[in-house]
Amino acid sequence: MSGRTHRRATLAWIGAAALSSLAAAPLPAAAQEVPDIAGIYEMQGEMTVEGSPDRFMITGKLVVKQDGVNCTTITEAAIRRAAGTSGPVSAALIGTGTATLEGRKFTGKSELQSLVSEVPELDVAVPFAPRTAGPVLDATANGEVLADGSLKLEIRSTLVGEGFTLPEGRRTIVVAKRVARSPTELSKKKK
Amino acid sequence: MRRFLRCLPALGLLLAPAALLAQDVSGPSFKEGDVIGYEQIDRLQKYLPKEFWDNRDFFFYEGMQLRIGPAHADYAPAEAYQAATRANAGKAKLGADGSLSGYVSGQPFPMDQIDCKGDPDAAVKMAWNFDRRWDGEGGAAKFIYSYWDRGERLPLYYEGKSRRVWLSGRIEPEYQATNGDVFRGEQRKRVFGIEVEAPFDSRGLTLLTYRYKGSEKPLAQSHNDDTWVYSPSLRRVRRISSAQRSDAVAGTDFTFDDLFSFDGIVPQYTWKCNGNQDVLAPMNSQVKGYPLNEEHNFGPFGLSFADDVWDLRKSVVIELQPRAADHPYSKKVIYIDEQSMEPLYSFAYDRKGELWKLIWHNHRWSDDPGFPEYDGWPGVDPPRDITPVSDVVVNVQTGTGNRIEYWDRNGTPFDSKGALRRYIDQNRLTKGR
Repeated sequence: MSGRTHRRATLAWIGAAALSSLAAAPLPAAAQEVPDIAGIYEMQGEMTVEGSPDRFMITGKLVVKQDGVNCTTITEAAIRRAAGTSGPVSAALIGTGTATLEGRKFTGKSELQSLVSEVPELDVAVPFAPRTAGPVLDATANGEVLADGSLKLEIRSTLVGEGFTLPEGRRTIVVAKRVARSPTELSKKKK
Repeated sequence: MRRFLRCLPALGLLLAPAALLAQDVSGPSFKEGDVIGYEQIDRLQKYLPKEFWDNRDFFFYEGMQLRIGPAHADYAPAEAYQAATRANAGKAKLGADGSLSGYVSGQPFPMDQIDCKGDPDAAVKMAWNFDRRWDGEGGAAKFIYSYWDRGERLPLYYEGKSRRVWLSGRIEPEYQATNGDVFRGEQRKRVFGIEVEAPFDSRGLTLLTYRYKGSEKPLAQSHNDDTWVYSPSLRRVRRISSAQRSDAVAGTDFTFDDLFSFDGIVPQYTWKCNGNQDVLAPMNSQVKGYPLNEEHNFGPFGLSFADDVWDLRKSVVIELQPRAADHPYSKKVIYIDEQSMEPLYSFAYDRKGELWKLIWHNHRWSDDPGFPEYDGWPGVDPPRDITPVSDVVVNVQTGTGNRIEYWDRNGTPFDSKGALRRYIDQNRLTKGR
């Protein structure tokens, strides 16, 4: 593997690691009662690496199923380079997790499968471009329910398995906005 | 008489379950020509896969007009394919990992000789029959790939041309001397190409994939696919050798191996036969989609074929489980038309065992008078091909999905071997650029 290719792969994994914790995320709560957070969320966020110009944009879906203070989550997200010097990169993570509400705060954890395009220049949304399954990531998230009902998450992740390393100093902040209660609820944005 | 009366309660107990059974085996509550509106969809339930029915809100809607087509119409493949099946019966053998050897052409394992319940290899034999189903030369089409999110069509789309070409297992008389190979000594099984024409910033993106005969061998000896990708932004070609392409990626719910419900490598999975079921499915579409018509109504979620003709078909239900531990699916259940071996429905489950993706297809019958785009050719006339013309995947967890339309797909071969040779040459990806 050339140095450049390796660097791209590493960056893809950085993104993947950031995404992994999203599944662990969303679980808010009202102080006295358990808030209703079940539904489908659209996520947007950013991952930065301290001391590096690299910046990654995170977009995707978060599904929360709730049973009292206990929740399960499904994450499907894409991460795309927005700035940096190492060329374009995109990756994706899919997986499931659990979370617990404590008032308006929540904590969660998840296990996510990373998926990386075998053609780093090719966006993950391009149909039928070859992609490969990468390592699994363990992620934890801490967050809160914002006043408008959105979820704000800070994510940390660790890799399970060998093959690459991740730089220290990465920080991932994501905001997830609920857009539907169920998958069959038609989008309000539909014309 | 008294004894008879004493027996009546017991007789009643016996008759009750019999009546229930009779209800179960009663025929359909519809007939050819019936038009089913949203208010009558309960009449369809018994003839739809349970997973589909449970998610019917994506597909059935007020205003739909589902017309019932013929029951068990004859969609048997081309006579030349059937002749090849007869001529080569018994030559195909299963090996380690469900691998295939000895195959020449036609259906590898005649369906009428497969016992779903009694043969532990029934499902993998059906999987090979599915893999080697009659497909003409392979299928050429213009396509549009659209993205949907709970009924909202997203701005992202891809439009272009695709073509699949079988280089082995061919049934035309001209290839008999080479045991079904198009070129003598051919190592490739088939080739698949995509050329993106729109949107503008993706115009020129080109993919070409070789699948090799070696992919049919046991896993330890398997030959991986090769893919070449030309990226116009970089103006260069990348070659990729894919060990495991099966994935699922945010932004697109289809994976390469989800095409036609399953387009993967058979030995990479274990297979189980779940039985037979009569199902309704869109088989011989009487409407038109892209590129013949861009105005067809696919329902409020954009993912429905309900406004069309659906046939009653005999299907076989097989289930795959990936051998790879990192595969996103825990299993996929596939409903296959027993006569044509075309995919009808499939249901992919995530690693936790929850239904994740629902895939289904629309088709056209090559010999239908309304399908003039599909011509016969020497040795294969008429073509007798039920060809898929649209695929839909629905992510039932997020409400997102994709629809691929390619209503002009046909398996008529290239006019010349030279044109075919140029198409499958990876060097064409950069020529003239």
